[in-house]
Parts: sequence; structure tokens; C-alpha cells
Amino acid sequence: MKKFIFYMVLLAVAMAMILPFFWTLYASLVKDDLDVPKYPISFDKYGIENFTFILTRENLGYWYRNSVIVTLCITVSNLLLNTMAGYSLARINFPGRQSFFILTLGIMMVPVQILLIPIFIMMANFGWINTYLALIVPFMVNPFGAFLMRQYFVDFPSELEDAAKIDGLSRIGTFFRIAFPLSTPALISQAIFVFVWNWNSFMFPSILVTRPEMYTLPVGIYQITNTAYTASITRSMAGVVLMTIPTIVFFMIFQRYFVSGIARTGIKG
Amino acid sequence: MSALSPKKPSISSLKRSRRREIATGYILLAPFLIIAGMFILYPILYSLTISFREFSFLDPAGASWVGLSNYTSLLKDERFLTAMKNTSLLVLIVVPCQTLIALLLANVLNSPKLRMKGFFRTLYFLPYVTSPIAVGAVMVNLFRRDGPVTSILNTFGFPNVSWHSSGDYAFWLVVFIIVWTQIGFYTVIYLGGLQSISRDIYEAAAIDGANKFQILTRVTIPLLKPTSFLVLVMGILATLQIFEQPFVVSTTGGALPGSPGDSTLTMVMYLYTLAFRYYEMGYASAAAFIIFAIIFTMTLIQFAFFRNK
Repeated sequence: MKKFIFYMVLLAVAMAMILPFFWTLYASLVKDDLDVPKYPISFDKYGIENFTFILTRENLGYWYRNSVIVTLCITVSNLLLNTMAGYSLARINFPGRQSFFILTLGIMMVPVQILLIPIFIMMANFGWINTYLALIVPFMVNPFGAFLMRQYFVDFPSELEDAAKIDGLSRIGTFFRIAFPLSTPALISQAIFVFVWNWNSFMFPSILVTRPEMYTLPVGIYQITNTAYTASITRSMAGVVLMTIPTIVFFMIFQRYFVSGIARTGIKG
Repeated sequence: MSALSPKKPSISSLKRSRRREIATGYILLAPFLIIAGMFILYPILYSLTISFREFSFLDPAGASWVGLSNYTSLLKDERFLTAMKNTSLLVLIVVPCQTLIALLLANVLNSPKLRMKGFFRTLYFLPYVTSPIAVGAVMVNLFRRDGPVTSILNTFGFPNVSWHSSGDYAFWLVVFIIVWTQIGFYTVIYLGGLQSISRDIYEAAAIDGANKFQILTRVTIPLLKPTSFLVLVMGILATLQIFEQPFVVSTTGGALPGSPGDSTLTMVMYLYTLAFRYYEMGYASAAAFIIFAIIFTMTLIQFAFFRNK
């Protein structure tokens, strides 16, 4: 009996979580906006016209390309630079290390909204508005990522480093050949968060690009769903489906790392 | 020097390797430091200076120093006060709701004999990784006039109105969206906390004759105190900075951010509107620093907590 109630609770919440996704898929396949509340039975009311419309009439192809390029560049750069910094802060003894670590902790506390205006003015002064540079360069490092990697490398076995040294590897060689490849679990949890944050990022891209061909997916989808003149429910939902599929696929592949990543980042701080 | 055997490294080579070590430390740290300095540290200082100026992006040459007047007029600005009130209300409603639901769900998910836990956990987490822009757009349609949720609620006596444009319901739509998005994340954090509690403690409590409810209230919840603190602080921080969800809801159909009638205006949304609709960069920067001060205080509390752990 108790088990039954527990399953009912779990199932009820699961329905609340998953039904909006199914409804979105349903609405995206209905041809006519007016048919959406009617749940028509006949097959000729359904079709992929909304998808073909969005893919051909809007700049969706560009937005996909922009989002992929921007998110990939940011993720690769974060993984490399944050990890280098984290290793340096954890394993190498140099003057000022402690102060740099405190500085990293300090900038971790900065809420991103405070950077919105100055980054916009800087990008405008550089002439980078409407370029990939504006969407990528300010986001190439993340103090949270550096902190995460530093915490990981603090517990790194020093025997491995000593062995590498005896084999004649330089310190930088040790980092790239030994430490970096061996930090895969931490790298994956870092990659997941950087990827999701930036793929879904809306606030910064919405001010850093103004030309529709330069929009990233969230900015483009916002234009489709929220502007009065194109607001068609069925087409909006088709856009939402196309935008959400990559995140869901990515999440399904890496979902067990998500959970361990939260355990690592959330609980350990 | 002659006393040293030739196989031992000489003092000068030791010095050289120490110098190389220091250089390596700086080389590995330098790219991170330079980029963080340019795009995090410098912008904060720059933003602080313009918060003391009358600075419109459209007319940067006409910028003049105005001292603290941006700050003092903000504290008298009714829209900013409304935004602060709405944001505080969101925190007061959203955070307890999502914390309680997550605590409950995690406890159910953690009970030993259930199957398919991984499946449920994955489902609950899905909204958290979905773009807030997409979620907002979907929810606006679910709660539209004649929409699926509105129709169901209508049979319970709720009016058949579009929630996003209703002065009475738009705020509650935002509350629902935030809670719906965040539950899975905090459930997973609570699960982590629950799994760190030893089974022995439960067995001891059961031997002492405690019933399930007593175990939950006298054993589990007190032992989860650190996790609850984390969930509360993270929830407060995330809700204080909320922007996307109320932005999508309120601007549906091209309406003004915060509409209807500023009922969904949040602090960050007001900052965004000031800066990028009215180009009042100085005034908006002052707003940003007031928000910063509030969030920074909360984050310090969070850090102090981690220190103690």
C-alpha cells in the first residue's frame, strides 16, 4: 500500500514534468492554429508543414550554426583554460598563488547581470557587435570551472607527477600528457555545465547581436514565439521542438554524469 | 661545490628548475587571468564608474558626473521598488515551495524497495536543462485561453483567461514556471544528502520503536540540515536573479517587459529594460550595483557556510 502511494506520487510528478514536452510535440504537428484545442482525430489535420515553414522562412539554419559554433568554441576554451588555471592553482608552488586563488573565489561571487552593461559597451567600442567575437571572447573562461578543477587536482596523486618528471617530462608536458587526460570525470562535469549554460544563454546574446542572421537559437526562438506578427502557436512550438532536441539528446547521453556532477559541484561547493 | 658528487643536481640547476616551476605556474594561469581580468574585473570597475554618471549610450559625449543621484533616485523610483517587491515575493513563495517538494520527492525516491528510480530522476531533471525561453513559450500556451491547463482549471472554477496577460494570474504563472523548472535540480541535491546518511541510523531508530513519520521528522530532516541550507541559499540566489522566465511571459505578443501593469517586473528585468530599451546606462548600472549588493550578501553567507563545512 505504501509502495503504491509512493509510485502514484512519483508518477503524478513525472506526468507534470513530461506532459508539457508531449503537448509541445503535438502542437508542433497540428497544421492549423485553430485545431490545437480540439485534439483532432483525423490524420489530415497533422503534418510537418510548421517545421518546413520555420526551416525555410526563418533563419533557423543560421541560428543553429551560430549556436553550435559559439557553444563549441566557448566549451573547448573553458575546458582548456579553466583546467590550466585550476592545475596551476592546485599543484604548482609559485609566489602569489594564494592571492590568485582568493581572487578566483571572489569573482565567482559576481552575478552576471552586473557585467551586462559594461560588456555591451566594450563590445560596441571594439566594433564586435554582430560578430562571433562578441558572443565568444567574453565567455572563454569561468571562475567556477577553474575552482572545480582546482578542487579536483588538489587530491591528484603526486606519484604520477614524480614518475613523469623522472621520465623527463617538463612540468607543462606533465600537465598536458598526464594530468589533463586523467581529469576526465571533472572535465565532463565541467563540460556539461558550460555547454548547458551557453546553449541556453539568452540575456547576453540578445544584446550583443542585432542582425537576425547572427542570432543564436534562444534569441531566434524568442523572436518567433514572442513577436506579435509571427505569433502562430503551431509554428512557435515547432521552433521550440527544434531548439530543444539537442539539449535533450545531450542530456540523455550524459545524464549519469549530470547527477555525479551535481554531487561534485553542489555538495562539495 | 667540490664536496657535492657530480650525480646530485647542483645548486644552480636546482635554482633553474625552481625558476622554471614558477614560470610554468604563471604560464598556465595567465590566459585565465588575462581574460577574467578583461571581461570580469575591469567591467565591474567600469560599471561602478558609470553608475555615478548620467550616461546614455546614445550620447556618451554628453555623460556627466552626478555623484550618488542615480542611487538616490532609484530608491525613490516606483518601478524599481515594484520590481524589488515582486522579486522578494517570488523568493518568499518559490523557495519554500520548491524546497518542500524537492525534500518530499527525494525521500520518496530514496526509499529502498522502489524500482525505476533512475528513470524518474532523469525525467524530473529534464526541465532544468531545457532553455528557459522554450519553457516560457510552452507554458504561456498551456495557460492560454482555451489552452489545455486553463481548460482543466476551468472545470475547478478558475476563469478561462490567458494567464500571461491577466493582472491576477501572470505572476502566478511565473511562480509555477520557476518551481516546475527547479524541482528536479534540488531533488537531486537532496538525494545526494540522503545517500550520505548511514542506514545504521535508521535501523537504530526503528529498533527504538520510532514510526516512519517520526523517523522523517526526528532523524532525516535534522540530519539533512546542511543540505537544506544549501538548497535554500541556492534557491534564493537563483530567484533573486530571475530574468528569462518572467521576460518571456510578460513580453508575449510584443507587450512591455513586466506587463501586465508591472505585475511580473523583476529587478534584473528592470535593469535590462533601463539599459537596452531606454539606453539609460548610468542609471541602470546603479540598479545593477544595488542588485549586486543584495546578491553578494547572500553569496557571502553561502561561502561562510562552506568554510564551516
